[in-house]
Amino acid sequence: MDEAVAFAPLEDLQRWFRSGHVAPVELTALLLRRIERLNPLVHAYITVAADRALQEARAAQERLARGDDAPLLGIPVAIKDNLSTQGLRTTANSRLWATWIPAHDATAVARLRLAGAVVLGKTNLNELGWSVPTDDDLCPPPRNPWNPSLAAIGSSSGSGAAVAAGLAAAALGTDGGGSVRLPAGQMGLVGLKPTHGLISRAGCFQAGTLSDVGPLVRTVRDMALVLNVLAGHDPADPVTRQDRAADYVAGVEDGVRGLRLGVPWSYVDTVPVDADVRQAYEAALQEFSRLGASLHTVDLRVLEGARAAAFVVLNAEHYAAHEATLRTHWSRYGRSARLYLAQAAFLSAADYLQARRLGTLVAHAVDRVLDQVDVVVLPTSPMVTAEAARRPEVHRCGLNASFTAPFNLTGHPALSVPCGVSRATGLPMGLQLVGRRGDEVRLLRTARALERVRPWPTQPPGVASLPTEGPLSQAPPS
Amino acid sequence: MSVRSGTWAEFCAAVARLGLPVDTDDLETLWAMVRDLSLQAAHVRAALDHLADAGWSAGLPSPAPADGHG
Repeated sequence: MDEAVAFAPLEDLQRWFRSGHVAPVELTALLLRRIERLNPLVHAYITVAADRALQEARAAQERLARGDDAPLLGIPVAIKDNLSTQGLRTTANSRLWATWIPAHDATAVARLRLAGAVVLGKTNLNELGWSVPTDDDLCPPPRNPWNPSLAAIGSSSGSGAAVAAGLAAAALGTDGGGSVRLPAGQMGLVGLKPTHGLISRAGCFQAGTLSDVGPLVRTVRDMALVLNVLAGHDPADPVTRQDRAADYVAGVEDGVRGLRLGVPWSYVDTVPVDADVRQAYEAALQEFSRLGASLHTVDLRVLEGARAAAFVVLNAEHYAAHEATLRTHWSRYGRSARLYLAQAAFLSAADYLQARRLGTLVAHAVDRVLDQVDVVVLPTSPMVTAEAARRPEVHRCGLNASFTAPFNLTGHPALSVPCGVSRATGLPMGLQLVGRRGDEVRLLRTARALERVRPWPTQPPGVASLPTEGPLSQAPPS
Repeated sequence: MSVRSGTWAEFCAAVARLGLPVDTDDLETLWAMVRDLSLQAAHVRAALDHLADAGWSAGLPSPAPADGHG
């Protein structure tokens, strides 16, 4: 089978399954071979469930033969390793949970399985989703398939690397401050932090109040298809919403003519943004204008405080989740993770509550702006490389999440779509679209309009240029 | 917590009181992280003050003057 099938959008795979051009078992076997070959280089997966995935693919194939039309039948997916998977170890990349085998699937995983998806395995993440990754972690940090000499940004870095490297057709991540959108932006994928509560978080390992489960996929239409499966109320997660769109695919091709797009220059200009990011952002705005959207400058300077508030809330909640275990099992946390967790021991209850108060105010401010415009447009990340984002002076104040974390605090949906490649680094950059709560349909429609006029290479040159035969070095090329 | 703006010795004592067995080599790194995070908390308070000055409030009204009860 042509290796290009490993990079095909979901709708192509569905069509090929039904025509018999490709069989689910063939596709799963292809991806497992690719994982065996490339994972030692990319570190996308912590655990691969090869035998079980082949069983699930065979079952999907039989269902297809019977005329079953489940929406993701036979689609091979990867799951971030902080989402529970029944019978499949879930480590959160921590030595403390290195052997934990959950009895139940997280609701999002269960919904994917119910839709016919094949679970290939569990993907890599920053230890416990909250640290600067180091080679000392249970599983070493993922590399970026666009250039394996560079790190993949996190915390859903393994999910992003798996899809970008052609090691899964789609993946689940979690996003507490940008952890789906940042890797999507940096690896040429579409990533969504949904409206808070649109997708159930039940079964997500120690999810704080700002986190949401979100997919990473290759195209906007892929995102709509997966969202159709995942969105909706779950009695196991009381935060989940009762309302959802009937169909996220309908209307996705409607274009942006007549839409009002908000451009928050007064906030963007406060953030130190790489020159390539700025250029790609401006080019995307011009493209939207050419497509018939109107651009409106909006005042969102309040996001500067929101970034700090999100960082305080995230720190406090992560420390609270580990307060007792840090005392008793300090040495079993990685050095980076334990220091990241411990720093919040000196926050006060008042610090936390003031951050939540500010979040309420900022949410109102964003609502007011979204009364005037349909979508707010921002870069996804101020910087292109994970190496730049992880400099202590950047990471310790959450500067790398300047454009993403505020919307975890406010609960608005935010989607990252590819918008260019950095000339300086050769890595992709993302454009972030933020909408009204529950209005994912309009975000998808806006993102699709850009994708349609600027089609995106789905095969990263870094991985595509590797030899297809012979051993690969386990060390990243310099 | 006042230790954030206190001395190095006060910080080390506070870490010991919390029962966190931080390696000696890591104490300085942790202190820098604690102070950076403290700046973020201060930034939040400044943002709230700024918004209050602009007429935004999400909590209790400002305290009434001492003779204003009733």
